[in-house]
Amino acid sequence: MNTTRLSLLERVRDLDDASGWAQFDKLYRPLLMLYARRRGLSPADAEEIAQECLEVLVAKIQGFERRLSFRAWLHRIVDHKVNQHLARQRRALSLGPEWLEEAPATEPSPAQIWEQQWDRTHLFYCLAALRSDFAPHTLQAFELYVLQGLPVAEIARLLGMTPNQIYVAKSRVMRRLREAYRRLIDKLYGASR
Amino acid sequence: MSKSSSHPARGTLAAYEAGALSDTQAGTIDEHLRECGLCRDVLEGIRARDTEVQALRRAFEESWREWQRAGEVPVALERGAAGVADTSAGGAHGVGDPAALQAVQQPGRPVLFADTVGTAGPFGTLTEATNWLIPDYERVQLCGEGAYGSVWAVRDRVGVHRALKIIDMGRLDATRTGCRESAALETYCRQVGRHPYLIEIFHVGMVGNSLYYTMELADNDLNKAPVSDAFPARYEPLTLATVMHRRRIRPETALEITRRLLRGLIRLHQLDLVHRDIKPANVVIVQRRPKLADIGMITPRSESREVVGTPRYMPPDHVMDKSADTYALGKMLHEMICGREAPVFPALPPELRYGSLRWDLEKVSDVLVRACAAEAGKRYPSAAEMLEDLEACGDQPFHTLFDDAEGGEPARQAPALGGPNRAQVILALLRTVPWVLGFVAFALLLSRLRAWIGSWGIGD
Repeated sequence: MNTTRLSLLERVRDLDDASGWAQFDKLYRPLLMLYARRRGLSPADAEEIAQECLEVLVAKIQGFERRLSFRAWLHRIVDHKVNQHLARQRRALSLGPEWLEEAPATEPSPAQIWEQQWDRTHLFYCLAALRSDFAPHTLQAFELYVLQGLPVAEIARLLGMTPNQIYVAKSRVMRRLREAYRRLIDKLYGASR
Repeated sequence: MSKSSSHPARGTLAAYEAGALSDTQAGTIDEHLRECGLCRDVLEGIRARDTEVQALRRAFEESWREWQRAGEVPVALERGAAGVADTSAGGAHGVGDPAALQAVQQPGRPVLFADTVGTAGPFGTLTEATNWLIPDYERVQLCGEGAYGSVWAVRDRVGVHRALKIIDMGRLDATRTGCRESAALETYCRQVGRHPYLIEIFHVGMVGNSLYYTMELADNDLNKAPVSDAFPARYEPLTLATVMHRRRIRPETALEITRRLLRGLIRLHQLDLVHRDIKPANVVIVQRRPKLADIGMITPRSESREVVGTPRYMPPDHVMDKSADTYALGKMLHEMICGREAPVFPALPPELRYGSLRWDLEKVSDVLVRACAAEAGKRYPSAAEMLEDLEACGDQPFHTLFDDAEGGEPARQAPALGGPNRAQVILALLRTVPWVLGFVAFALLLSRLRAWIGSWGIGD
């Protein structure tokens, strides 16, 4: 099923929209890097792969067809690059048993890694954007409550807030995060998702 | 509902915890929670079962472990030194226990929002609460906001107006850009120095997590004049983009602008630096002179592999070396002369009406073809070669029109970009001459007529 409305892609394809391109880079570069890292590449190699993928994107984005979702298309590109790299590496390393042992036994499949990193990248992107929407204490309360799981009484002592302020802060940030995530996904890939 | 006998229903508390209640309903529960520990316990239980919260926490925890295993935080999520449990940034607020907070946070762990503690009071939006913390500069007007920061018109202590750019280095997504900009600034300020066609940077500083720097303020787009001591009631920065947006630029003016920008670019290229983001919006008009601005992507040529910039002005092969800068200038020149939607590129269309005798537009077309060639090897290797060829297209060398010594003032006032130039004023004056002559003749005729009628003696 085609899930991409191409709104951001169209902006990027216009080749005239610096902010569209910046957003594109900001969102997908870390995703590509994280994916490459999870597939076992070194930081420098992952950065290289992300760079190469973005170059491919710049070159091919105008020929991108809507038959495929953008998520699948991008995965295909980065997967190809990573596989190529790993194959080169294997040849260069003349794969030995000690190398095999390093790989965890229950390593998720590339597709699973991609799905997970895709979701997290979009999530962290929204999380980062919240910074400009709330007062610092609100975000701090949210972070300690949700992301670090501290007891409410402890957070109250650390931040000098009452427990209900923390709940309110957490609720507001969660609500905004949910909205931001939905908006981002709609904006990028259309409402059909 | 403040009495313990009227606890909100479990479902209502769950909805409250999920942020799904209206403000009025939530406010009522807020009040109730002040006194009711029982309901707070219920809420704790809800947190433990909240799949959304737990998933978020798991994602953050796992990502953190991955970053730890890798020995580093991925670039776009990195906080830099300031982002690691740094509660000192912004000063103490006198609320809570920052020292204990720091102790709770594990060393080296990336903390999303910790550095924001103490910069503003709880609740309300950041923009409402944030004070202007930059010393010595009074903010006058917000001129623009980008993905990574904002640009303000400010007034310094002696009343001079400047442009001030702030980059929030603490933002998760801005660190990469911030570092790049910081490196570019250092290179630019230390190596480039002053040049009439490059924007001048006056001061670079840090406040908390924000990097800021001041530079020349663009002329006012609304009256095409430089900003004087009194800041205008309405101000929009004048850039080449705003000029091009309104009108086609005459080839002569377009070529002059390009030649000047090439001069600026030569300085960069001589130092083996690449600008990488030349486009109309990054050419500001200061004191009626075009200047290359937005130096945030300047980098040594050897480190210019990264594909950054504005796609419209990037060469198709994305080789971002010096030839990419001359490509962008060529593309801009073409747009200035032919408009943005010209069907022919990079050559000039043959049917173009040549409004200039000073320039051989055939030759200019050849320069454009080379500047904007699709392959890096066929483009101008740097700005100097392009300027040389461009100067050969006109019958008057550049330096006889304007004293263009680097760092010096132009001997003649440059034509006001976007405003009426001297030739237009003279033309307008000439157009009034027949009317003035006609009026004088008519007045003369009238006085003769009256004298003639008077000679009949009728009035006596």
